[in-house]
Amino acid sequence: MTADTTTILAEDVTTPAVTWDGDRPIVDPSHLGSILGWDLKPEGLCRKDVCVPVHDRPGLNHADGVDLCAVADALGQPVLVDADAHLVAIGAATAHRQQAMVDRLAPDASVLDLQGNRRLLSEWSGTRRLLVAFSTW
Amino acid sequence: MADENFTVIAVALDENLAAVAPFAENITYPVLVDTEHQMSELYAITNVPTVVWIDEDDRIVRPNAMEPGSDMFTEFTGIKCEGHMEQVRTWIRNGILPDDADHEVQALDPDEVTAHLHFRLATHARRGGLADAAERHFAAASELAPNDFTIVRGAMPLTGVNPFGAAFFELYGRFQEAGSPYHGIPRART
Repeated sequence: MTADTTTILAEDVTTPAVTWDGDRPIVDPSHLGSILGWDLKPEGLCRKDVCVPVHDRPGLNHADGVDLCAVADALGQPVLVDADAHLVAIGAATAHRQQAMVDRLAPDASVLDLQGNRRLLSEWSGTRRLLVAFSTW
Repeated sequence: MADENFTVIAVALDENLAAVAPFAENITYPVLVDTEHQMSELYAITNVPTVVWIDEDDRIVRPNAMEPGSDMFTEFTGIKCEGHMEQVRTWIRNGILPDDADHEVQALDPDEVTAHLHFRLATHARRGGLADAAERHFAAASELAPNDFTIVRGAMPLTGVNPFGAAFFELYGRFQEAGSPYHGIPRART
């Protein structure tokens, strides 16, 4: 990690080209898909065949690309920025987290196996299971 | 119960895969690691061990509950493990859920969510050699979620603090004084 590289921690961890405007990370709109899993299209922010309309479309725009915080905001995802360390963390959409608790549908999550491979909890769909969160501490 | 379309999925809320590996020795079910604290954020897991029962259709049939795998800490926590194992067997074999299964868990509140984001930034800053940023974000996370063990205690081994020492007992005392807040089924001491 150097001062020139920005690490973005969303569902995945990415290091796209970022232009910093003060504490606002600005990214190329074509990178949104890899950063957030949502692409900016004429109909809004889209993931597979689901699109979320963007009410303040001009509010996303910046001379150097799109304002990542504004995009996350439009998706209802909380953002935390450390402009000095060039780190950005973007959480799950608030509505998605809350709905999972109300609907009682087990949210999918990305974790690692002990070999360091990325795995999805949904790989065990179709089986009754106990999800046990433990720790070494 | 391995032949009954049932499995345990153990997920460590840890950062160091090598530290978790010994826990997986001689264990036949999957052992995974939530290095990014994504699972704990989505499931509102604020302490360990937390167990969630999920059926074959991905429904949470019994939400977050503190369920130890042994009675090693029963004197401390007041929770025994055999009752839970019996409840699990009854669910798997007869489809009967315990009375507390319909408890509605509150999602993390905005401060707790921000605490998770700070924690995630801190672990990445630490890995990237940005010690000052790591320290700052670990501190901010613990301040925003002072009773979340996955944050406050989870940060201890990453900041050179003994997670079994005085800092832990300080956290535990504060947690009890706050009424033992937990996102899940409340437990009475047995």
